Amino acid sequence: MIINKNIKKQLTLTLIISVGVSIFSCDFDRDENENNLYNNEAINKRVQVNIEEAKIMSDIAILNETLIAMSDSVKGKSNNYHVKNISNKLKKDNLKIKKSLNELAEKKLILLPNKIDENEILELHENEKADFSEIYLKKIEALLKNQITQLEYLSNITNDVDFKVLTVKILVNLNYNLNQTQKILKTNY
Amino acid sequence: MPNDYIHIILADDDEDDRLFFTDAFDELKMNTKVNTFNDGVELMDYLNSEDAILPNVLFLDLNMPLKNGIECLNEIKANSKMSDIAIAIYSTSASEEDIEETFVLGANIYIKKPSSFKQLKKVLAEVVSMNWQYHTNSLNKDNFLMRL
Amino acid sequence: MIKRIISKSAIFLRIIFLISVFLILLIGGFTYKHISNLTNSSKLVVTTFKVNVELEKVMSYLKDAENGHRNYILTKDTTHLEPYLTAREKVNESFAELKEIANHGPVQEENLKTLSKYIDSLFRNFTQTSAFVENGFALTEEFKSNFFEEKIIMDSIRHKISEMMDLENRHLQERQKQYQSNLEFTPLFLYLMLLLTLVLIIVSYSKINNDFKNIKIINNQLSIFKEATIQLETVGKHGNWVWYVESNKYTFSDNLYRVLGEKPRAFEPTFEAFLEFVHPDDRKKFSADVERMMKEEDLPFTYYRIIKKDGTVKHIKGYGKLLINNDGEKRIVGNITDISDEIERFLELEERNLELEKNNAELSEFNYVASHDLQEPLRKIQTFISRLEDKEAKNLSASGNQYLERIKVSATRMRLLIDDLLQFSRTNKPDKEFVLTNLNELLEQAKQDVAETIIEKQAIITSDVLPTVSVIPFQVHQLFLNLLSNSLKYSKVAEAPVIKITYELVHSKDDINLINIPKNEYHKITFSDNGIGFEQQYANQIFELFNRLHNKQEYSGTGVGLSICKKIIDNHNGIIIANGEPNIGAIFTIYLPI
Repeated sequence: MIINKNIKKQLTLTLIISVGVSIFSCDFDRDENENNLYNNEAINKRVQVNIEEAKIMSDIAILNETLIAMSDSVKGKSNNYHVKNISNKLKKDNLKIKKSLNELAEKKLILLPNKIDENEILELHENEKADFSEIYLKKIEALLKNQITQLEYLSNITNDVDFKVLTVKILVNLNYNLNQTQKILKTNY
Repeated sequence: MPNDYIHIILADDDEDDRLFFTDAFDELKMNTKVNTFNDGVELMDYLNSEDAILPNVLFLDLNMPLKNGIECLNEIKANSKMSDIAIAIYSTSASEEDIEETFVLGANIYIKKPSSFKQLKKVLAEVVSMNWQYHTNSLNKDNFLMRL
Repeated sequence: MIKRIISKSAIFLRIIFLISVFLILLIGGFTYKHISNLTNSSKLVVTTFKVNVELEKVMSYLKDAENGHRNYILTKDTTHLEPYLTAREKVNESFAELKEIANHGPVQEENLKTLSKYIDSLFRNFTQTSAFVENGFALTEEFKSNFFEEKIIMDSIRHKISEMMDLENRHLQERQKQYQSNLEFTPLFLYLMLLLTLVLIIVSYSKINNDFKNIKIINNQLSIFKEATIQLETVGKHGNWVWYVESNKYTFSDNLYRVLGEKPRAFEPTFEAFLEFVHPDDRKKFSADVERMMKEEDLPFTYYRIIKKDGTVKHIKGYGKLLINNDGEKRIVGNITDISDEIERFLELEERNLELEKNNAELSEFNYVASHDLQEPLRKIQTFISRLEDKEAKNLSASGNQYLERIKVSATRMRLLIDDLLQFSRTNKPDKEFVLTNLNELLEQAKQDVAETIIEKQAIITSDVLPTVSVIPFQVHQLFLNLLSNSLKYSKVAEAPVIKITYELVHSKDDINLINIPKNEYHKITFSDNGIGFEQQYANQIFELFNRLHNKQEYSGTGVGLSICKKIIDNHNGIIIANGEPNIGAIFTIYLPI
């Protein structure tokens, strides 16, 4: 019968629609979105990165403080013009760096330590054999290198734009200073 | 009656029947004049002839050679000159068909030939003295066939 | 009716199937949502739990640091500083975790930042305090105020942490409430849906089962019918064909080919192929009939001849009826029957009938003519006898008169016989006209015919009022006449005949005499007299032709009268029955159907 055929069509259509509706109601939400609040693996990864960042930031902060203290203690101990210059510059720059570091740390909820590497200072002061400036410069070089390495490492592991920007900024400065230090070392010692 | 005589004609092919007929009228001694004819042709020739004296009553047999009674009846009824003739069918048979046909064709009465001479005389007397006007006016199939 | 059930059931089942599928999919969707909600809910709980744990950890680290630091202040032993030294790093780790998992509402983010600042200031405070201790400035005013500041910071931290935890917990509860309302509703709903689906499935299962049983039964019947039809075809010389209206195709059954004198499936079933077999004279009419069938979708009975390949001619009766199946397709199912045998027999019968009729007519004719022609000479004899009696009686001797008398008697007898035979032949005439006649008139006529005898015997005739019936008038007249004459003739010597004629309308079931008769109403007319009667054992005999119970000396008679009566009654499809008692009388009962 003709009526029969029509009903067949209608029923098939209804079937298709109902299938569609029920599939749609499933509300598929795969874990493709890494910013999903409930995805454990991604969270864990990020947490690890955060921890690393915090650690490195702390190390860099300590190095920074040490550098500042060192540059501070050059006052009156060296008469070399270049050394005095560079130590002043370093102190200024590192203070700026310290400020940047503190700002970023505050933003990123990282607590930066306030301490310095005592050993370095002691070594600097206790070593009477060599020239203070030389030791100083050598130490500075080492510290700067260390700092640079840390910063590069940080830049590698971080996914955060802020960190990357900071590291770039600081690295420029540090590299320049390192260059200067190495030049002075070469020319004078 | 205008005439003295009652003129009677019989048309019958049977010799014996003609004899009975004339003998009967002889014995009846009514004022009748009887003529007989042997067959239909003779009868019609006579009736159609110029100087024919048309009968008052015509007794017509049905089974005649050359021209039978039905044919004669038709001719007579078709002829306006012969409308005054009272026609009595005088036949051996009393079959429904013959009675019906002759009634329809206009015969006045139907007589079955009786088998006794006495009866014959009785019938003839009755027929001859019948008041034909009266009879024809109230003619129907019941009184068409003469009851003996 | 069966068609409708099945078609209704097909739609019904489809609908049920679709509803079930829909419900199942619905259930599936709901279940998925439900489960993912559950999962999310539990994940949220875990997260909140983790946040709380981390915050507690932070608190604990700070407390340890504070503790250690205080110990150091008290004892100036730097070993106590260990927790203090590691605290910062551990707190950083906790913060690293908290950054990711704490609810990222703006409030909570602010809280986190504030907490971090507090902790930062706490550590600075610790450093300051350490500096004081190292430099030996313990318990000074500055030191005390520093110490006090530390307490304040600690309190703020504690407060902040509990604030954050509360916020987190509240958030959890809100979300839980949301989920809860969803979750409560869903299981019951799903359960009901499942039940409903189950019910639907059971219903459709039972329906399908039923239908299946029905179809099996129908199938069995059909296969039996099919077998019966095939057998019927073969035995009855039928052939079936089907014309599919829409596609204009024919199918012929095997037996149809056999009827045409061919082997089954000898050729393609087409109209043209069949037409080849139709007799050339009938082809035009046949084609016209088929055309009309195609237009009107119906084929009433058609008759035509076919010529088999071996030359024999057969007569065929064809018929077709429209059949519309479930899907609305039209087909005409028809059959052809070889009726040649019937036709032949029919023709034979017709021939014989004609012959019989001719014979009958001849015999009747003969009978009539003979009787009629015999009348003539007899009449002459009687007339001449009467003339002799009249004229010559005196001239004859006694014996001569006696002889004459004897001749007269014989002649009279002969006349009676001839009259009766004539009557008998008249009642035999094939064309009988039935006319509505008032029977009273016929009775009167009969009475008039025997008027003389009635007067002579001083007979008394009484009669009921008779009805008007459709009869052959002259025959019924004859009937009444014969019965009256008999009653008058066979009257007692010294008694005046009394004849009673009665009438009654009876139903066949009420009268014994009408037991084997088709159910109907009959006019019952009785003629009863007080004559000499007869022995009842002769009741059937007297109706036979020429049968007499007395010799002609006692009572004149030809033995034909009652036979004529019976014949007349037969012509009217009626019954005549005689009852007699010797010396009492006779009763003749006539039944005429209305």
